[in-house]
Amino acid sequence: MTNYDLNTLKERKSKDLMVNLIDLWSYLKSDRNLLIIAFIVVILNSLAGIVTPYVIATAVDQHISTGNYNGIMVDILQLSGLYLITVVCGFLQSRLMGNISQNTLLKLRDRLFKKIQSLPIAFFNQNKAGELMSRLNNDTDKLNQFLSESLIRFVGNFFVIFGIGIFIFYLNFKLALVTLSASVCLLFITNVLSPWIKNLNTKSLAAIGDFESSVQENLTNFKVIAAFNRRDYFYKNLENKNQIIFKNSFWSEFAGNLFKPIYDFAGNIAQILVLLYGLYLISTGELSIGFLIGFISYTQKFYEPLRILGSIWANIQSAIAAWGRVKQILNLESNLKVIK
Amino acid sequence: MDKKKDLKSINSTFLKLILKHRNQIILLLILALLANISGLIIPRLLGNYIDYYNQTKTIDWSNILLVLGGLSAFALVFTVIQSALSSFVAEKVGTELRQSLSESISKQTNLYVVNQTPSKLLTIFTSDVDAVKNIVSQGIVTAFSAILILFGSTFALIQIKWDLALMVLIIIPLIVLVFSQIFGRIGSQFRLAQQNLEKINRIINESIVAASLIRVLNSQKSEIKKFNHVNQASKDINLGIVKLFSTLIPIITLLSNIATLFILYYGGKLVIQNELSLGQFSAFLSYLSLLITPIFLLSFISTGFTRALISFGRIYEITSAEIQTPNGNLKLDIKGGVEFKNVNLEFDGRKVLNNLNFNIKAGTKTALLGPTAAGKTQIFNILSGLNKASSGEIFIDGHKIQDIDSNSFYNQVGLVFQDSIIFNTTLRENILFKNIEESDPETLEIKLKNAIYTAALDDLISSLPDGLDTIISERGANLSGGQKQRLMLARALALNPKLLLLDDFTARVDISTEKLILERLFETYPGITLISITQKIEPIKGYDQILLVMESELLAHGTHEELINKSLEYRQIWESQQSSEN
Repeated sequence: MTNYDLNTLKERKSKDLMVNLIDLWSYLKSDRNLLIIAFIVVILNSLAGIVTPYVIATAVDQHISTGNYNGIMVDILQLSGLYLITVVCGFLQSRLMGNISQNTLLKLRDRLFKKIQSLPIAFFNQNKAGELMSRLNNDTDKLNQFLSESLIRFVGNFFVIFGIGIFIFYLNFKLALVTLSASVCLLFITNVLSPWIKNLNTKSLAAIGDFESSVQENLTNFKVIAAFNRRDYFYKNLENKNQIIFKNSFWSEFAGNLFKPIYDFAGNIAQILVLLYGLYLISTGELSIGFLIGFISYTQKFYEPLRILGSIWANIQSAIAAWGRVKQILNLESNLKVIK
Repeated sequence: MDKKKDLKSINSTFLKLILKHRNQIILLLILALLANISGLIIPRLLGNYIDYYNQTKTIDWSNILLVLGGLSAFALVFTVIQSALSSFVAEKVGTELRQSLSESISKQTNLYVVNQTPSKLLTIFTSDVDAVKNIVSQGIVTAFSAILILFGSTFALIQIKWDLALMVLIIIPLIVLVFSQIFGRIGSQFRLAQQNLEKINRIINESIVAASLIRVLNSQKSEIKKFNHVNQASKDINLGIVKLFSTLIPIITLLSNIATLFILYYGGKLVIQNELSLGQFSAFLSYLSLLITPIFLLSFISTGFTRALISFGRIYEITSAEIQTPNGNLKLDIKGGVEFKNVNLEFDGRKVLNNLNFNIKAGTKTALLGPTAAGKTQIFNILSGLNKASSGEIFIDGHKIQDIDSNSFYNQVGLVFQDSIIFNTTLRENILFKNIEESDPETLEIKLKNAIYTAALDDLISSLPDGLDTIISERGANLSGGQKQRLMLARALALNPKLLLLDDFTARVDISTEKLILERLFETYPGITLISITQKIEPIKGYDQILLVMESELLAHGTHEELINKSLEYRQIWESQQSSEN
């Protein structure tokens, strides 16, 4: 007999972000055109975001410190242009990504629903109703949150970080190394923490699924509970599982929230290192103060989106865990033979 | 309840929820204060260190490392403690909400649960609880931090150069204006989104629960069509929200960019005129960028808050619902006599039971006969107290049913429903579901034995390796239809009931087993009053009374022979069943 029990079926290796993105591609394919435009818009936006601090730094370094009013006006004009690009691109970016996310969610839900209609009864017998509902309702909702909110911020910030990361090397190789040293440590810490967090997320989702299957069972059976006056059964049953949710969800919440302070700390350390090394370079005549001020501004511009990424990393992990559970259902094949 | 009063009580209960955890929240706010202060001071200090170098041409290594490094470490530690506490409060609130929901629902009538629909209740348990718990901890603390940073940065800006600062700070009221314009519309969209989510979940859940029915009826295509409809609606509503946000954010960004241009021009001028140091200028720029994120954060929090309030309203509707306590307090030794007098039942304006009048004597065997949807199960529901008649009276042994103490009633009336209801626990607990609390273990064992014997479950139990301690799966997947029905019968019999109601019991049990069970029933439970809903005449031919129910009316009653003579419809049913059997 075919095994449809989702709790015993092995989850395919889905730790890798890339594997999951490739999976997601099948849903994004038909919005190819929108994606290309969105891609261009995001790159434009990021470029504008990268050049902006450079113009500001130039303004400070070359024109303000030398009293060059004309130079300042030119800078302001350039900045206005850049800001215009940023605003228009920002608008297009969120509209496009919003459309793409919603289309993807629509298709995902559609495929899931058609899949469960195509599966044989054995599937429904081997899995608890409430647990199936949990996967189809909550887990797709988590994906919904990710697609509607986190994905847009993730993509935008990712490009900014990438662009600035390259750009600061162009500005000053040594200072850039110093700036990035803190983020290399961050990468390391993130890699170490992520599997732990994903594990906690999966446990939390499973505890919630278990609770929901109890709610579902007891609500469907409510007339017997009422008629046989076992309202205590209803309550006790749910309370036990409720407490388990508390334990598991606390840990997954806490772990997920660790990223923001760690990223904040990294950003601060980076600024301190840049300050120290920068002042040293100034003392050896390699740098001007104006330039340092501009560079510190860049460091902030680098760590700000990184911080945002850190805060949504937890959402991303949660979405990946949810996606893993949803994929299990999508990968099931009906064992019923088609009679031609 | 009028809407205004409703809203007021929702808001005050929500406030009470927050205040309940006020100690932890205050602690959280203090931690947030400590954690954020360091973040606020650092830009200023950076500016100072640059100026210091400019003046003295020396780098104060140790000072910089100690102070800045110390502050950063400080911020890290306090933020981590804060997030631990924040997660704790969030999950605590979530757990308490779920607990309160379980408690309220457990006290409700079956009709209440059916009307609310398990789907809606499930959505409330999950999605709505999540929305509220997130706000109570994260929302409040993040809002506080955001306001703190906002005020801190504003103060820092004013402190550096107040006239320049004021020029820049004008953007804040502008942003608030834009915000409030767009914001009102987002609230109503969220409400729609939540309602639609509920619809989606309901269809998905029905597909799971009614999976076999859908396959039998081959109605997958129509289910998919239904689903596509709400799925599309969800997309449209969400796109509406996306549109609103996509206008909001660029406008705010534009305003902050204009502020930066101002600073460049006027600030630059001040630096050139030596009224502002480069270090101060740098700090000014840093604080401006600090200003923007809290504004965005506050906008996200307000949407979260709106969502939370809507969700809380839905939770509150359940937890504050009136509990219809049955107010009968007559403790009666039931003999089994049942009388229905002018009973009517209406649903949504449709008459489901029309002027029912009949009398059943204690100790007799009665059959409720009729085609599907005749109203037989509704009679059952009224008699078993799961539903209330719209008008008319129901008497048990001459006493009005609503006067009887419900516990006393359910201790003596055995109910076997049409659909198999099996709990995910041991066979023993499934059968002894009612009197699992009984103190005398011997009496319990006897009742259990009698029930198992009568329901012909001995074979099944001996075939299972764990016997009565076998845990049955939720849908009873490892039991056949007939076995499930007999388990339900055993459950009803374990009460040692005086009155036994069976709804279509014979449908899944074969004729010889049924005969055996009935024999054992009257042997083990002498004097029991049996009311059996059925569609087949042959097995109940010899019953004391047959009530013919068709299209919500009682057409005729009497013994089989009497009905053959006086009821055309009965004769027709008998003859068609005879011929199909031949």
